[in-house]
This record gives sequence, structure tokens and C-alpha cells, in this order.
Amino acid sequence: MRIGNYLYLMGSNIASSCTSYRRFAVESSMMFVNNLAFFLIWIFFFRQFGDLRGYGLTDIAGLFAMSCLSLGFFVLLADGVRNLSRYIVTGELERFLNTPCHPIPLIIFSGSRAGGLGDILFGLTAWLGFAQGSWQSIPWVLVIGLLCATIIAAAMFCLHCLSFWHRGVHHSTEQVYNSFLILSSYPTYIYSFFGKILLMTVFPAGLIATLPMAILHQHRIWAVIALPLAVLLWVRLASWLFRRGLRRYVSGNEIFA
Amino acid sequence: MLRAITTIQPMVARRLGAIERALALAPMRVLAAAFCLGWREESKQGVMIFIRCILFLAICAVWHRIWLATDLSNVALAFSVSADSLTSYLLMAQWVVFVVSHRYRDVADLIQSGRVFSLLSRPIPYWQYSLATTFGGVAWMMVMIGGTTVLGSWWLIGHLPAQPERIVWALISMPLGCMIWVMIQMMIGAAAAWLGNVTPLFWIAQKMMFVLGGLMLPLFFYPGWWQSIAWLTPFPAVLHLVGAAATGQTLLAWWQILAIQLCWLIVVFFLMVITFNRAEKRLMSA
Repeated sequence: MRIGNYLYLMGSNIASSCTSYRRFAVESSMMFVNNLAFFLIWIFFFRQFGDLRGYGLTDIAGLFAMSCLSLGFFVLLADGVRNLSRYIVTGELERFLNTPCHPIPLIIFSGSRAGGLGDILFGLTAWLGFAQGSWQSIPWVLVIGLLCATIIAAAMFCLHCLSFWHRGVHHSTEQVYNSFLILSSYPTYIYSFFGKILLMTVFPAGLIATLPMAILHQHRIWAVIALPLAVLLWVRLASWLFRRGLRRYVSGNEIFA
Repeated sequence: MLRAITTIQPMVARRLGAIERALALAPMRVLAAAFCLGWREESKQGVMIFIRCILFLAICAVWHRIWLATDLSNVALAFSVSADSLTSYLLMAQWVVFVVSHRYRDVADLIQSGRVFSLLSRPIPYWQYSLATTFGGVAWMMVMIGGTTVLGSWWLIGHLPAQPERIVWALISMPLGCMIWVMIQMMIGAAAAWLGNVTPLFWIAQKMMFVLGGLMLPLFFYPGWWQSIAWLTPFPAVLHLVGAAATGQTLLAWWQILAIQLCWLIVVFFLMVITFNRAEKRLMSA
């Protein structure tokens, strides 16, 4: 498939979630309010305690902004990933396999949620309003947000692919997804060494906020190299796992399909 | 003949009495069966519960480290606070959040899919059946997450989350908090009859509960004006009072905590019944 086709798929995916503009606007604005309410906890925390071993509201706002942006892009552009385990368990995967196109982009762009726009808008607001980010940094923030969204999409894709082997995974994917936002918005020094390793590898919540902050706030060169590498690794892993899983896929003829 | 009738009459009366009693008990049996069904359904979701327990422990561990890193010496309160007591508070409050989770989905999904109509025609009101099933699931989760709370507490702070003399009040206060939050969620689920998709409404209600109920940050750390607003809502009865009942970080006596929770339980219960009745009327007329 050509890039143009991907963009067309992406566009039509978003358009499908905009069928009712009123609902789209309500859902986006409610997600914005939802994030703001969650962020209020940190505002009141720093108002009461000043700082957290050198971490201030600015740093937490940066982490929060980046995780919101990444999750926002993921939900708006690639929410179809979150349905993959259901497709596998119910046999709906057939309809993606019986097309001339590669099934992975079709699955990824098979769903979009308006709430993602609320996340993106809140991420940008938090970046400019609380994290002392400049207007000039916005293009970089958006590019890094997209890269992190790719990591989330690939990691979630891998998780859903486990349904090829164990159907019970289908019920727990949303819990894991929710933990992404929760665990990515905390400062990394509170995690133990083992925790940090986990968050940077198997459970990449650390990659979607800490690494971008290392690039944008601390201007670390290693982080600039590490982020695209992580994207590449996760995408390759997702693609490999899907191909391995497809060999076990037999649910097309199941009675509940 | 007369003799035969006089001997049969008491027998018939006894039988009729038994049938009447059985009929009167039938709804209770149905609700008990619904409760057991909810319990069984929840107990089948092994992997999901395991992941939920891990996430519960992860969040509590993260906040324990945050409290350890926070300078609490300058906090001016009428009672003492420490990293351990704040972790105990969080464990109790998170227990409620994780037990109830996203119960609104069951009601909302039934309404959105139209499957609710098959339940509306039953002799037991739909809200009673739905509430009994949900309470069954919640009861199972209460045991599972309760075990995790005790484990997490021993791991993080080396003792139970509730002070020994407060364990009884904590164990009364916690289910009351759960019941209030379940009923609020049921109302949100029933709102699907008007709104269709109620997920955004739930997000806001949930985050409002975190902030107005004092989940991670106990309510006494918030500014006075914020606390005044919070006490006008049912959220402190769901979270703050549960944590406070267990740790003693409150100026309220146990009976005041209980009274506040019971008041909110009654208010929320009536609001839920009204919402369900209105939703039913709307669905039947649609």
C-alpha cells in the first residue's frame, strides 16, 4: 500500500467518528474536562507541598501533557487496535483477511474515537499553560506525540495478539490500556530500578512520557535516538507477533462467529 | 360430608398460606439468584481480576513512594499524618474504586443494544434485578481486592490498612461507600436511554469523584472552599469517609461517618429508582 492509501484510510476512519458533529464535540469536550479534573489533583498537591524532591508542577504537567497527546493521537487515529482481540475471539478477523490490502493497517484504522481530540487539546493546553512550553516547540511536540502514539498502538497490538494463544486476554486489555495513562504521568524517580526497566521495555508507559520529556525539556541526544528506535522495535514486534498468531487462527468457522 | 369439609378447610388454608408465602418470597429468591449470578460471572474473569489486582498494587506502591518523598512536616492539621497513614488511606479508598470499577457499562450496554426490553417484561423490576446482579459481582470483587489490600498493606507499610480498633468501622464503611458509588454508576448507565453513549459522562463523574472524594490526595489537603463544595456532593461519603474511618484521619466520630454515608445512600437510592423509572418509560414509549 502507498502512503496516500494509508492517509485516505486514516481520513475516512476519523470521518466515520464525525458522523454526528454534536456528539463529536460533546465527547471531545468531555474528555478535555475529564483530563482537567484529573490534573487538578496535581495542582492541589503542589499547592499544598511545594515540590516533590525537585519535581514541580511544570515537570508533572509536561509528563501529563505528553501522555495525553500520545493517547489522544492513538485513540483518534488508531482506535481499531483496541478491537483486535474481539475480532480474533469472535472470528470477525475474517473480513480483514479477505481483502487484497495488508490486514494490519486495515485493523489499525478500523476505529476512531472523538475523545482523542479532547486528549490532544488538553495535552497542548497543559504543555503551553502549565509545562512552560513555547509555541515554537509545538511542531516537535506533535511529531513526538505521534511517535509515542505509534508505540502505544504497537504495544496494544501485541497485547491483543495474545488472544491468538489465550482467549482470556480479551477481557483484560482495557485494564492494561487504562494503566498506560495512570503510570506514564508519574515522575520516574519514584520507581525502583526494576520498575524503570519494566516501564521502558515490556510495559512501555515510560517511553510515552519520560522519553519525550528527556528530548523536549532536557535536550538529551540519547533520547532522540532511542525514541525512533523504540518505535521501530515495537512495530516490528507487533507485525511479527501478528504473523505468528495468524498461523493459529481458526475461529472463522466457530459457531459463535 | 360436613365433617369432611371441616377437616379439608384447614388443610386448604394451610396450603394457600404456604403458596402465598412462597409467592411473597419469590421476588427475594429471584434477587438472591441474581446476586449469585453476579458473583459467579465475576469469579469467572480470572485474568482480568489478576491484572486489576496488579494495577491496584502498582498505583498504591507509586503513591507510597510519593508520600515518602513528600515533606509532611509542615502540614498543620488537627490529627497527625505520615506517609504510612496516607498510604493506608489510599489503600482503603482505592479498594472502593477497584471493587466497583465500571459497573455502569452493564446497564448502558443492555440499553444501547436493546436487550433491556426482555428484562423489562419480567415481574421483577429491572432496576432490582440489575442492582442484585451488580451487588453479587461487587461482593466477589470486595473479597478479591480486599485480600490484595491486606497483602499490599503488609508489603508497603507492614501492618493492616485500618487501625486495630477501627477495623469494624472500616469494614462497615467500605461496603456503604461501594453501594453509593454502584448506585451512582447505575444512574449513569440508565442515562443511556436519553444520551446513547454515556462513557464521557462516566469519565467526568469518575474524575469528579477522585477530586471531590479525595482519592489520591485526602480531602483535608484541599483548600477550604474546595472542601465546602466537596461536602455538598456524595463523593466524600464514597472515598474520603472510608479512608478516614480506617485511619482515624478525621475529626468526625464513627457514628457521624455512618450517618453521613447512610443519608447519602438513601438519597442516591431514591434518585436511582426515579432515574430507572423514567428511563423505563422513555424506552417503552420509544
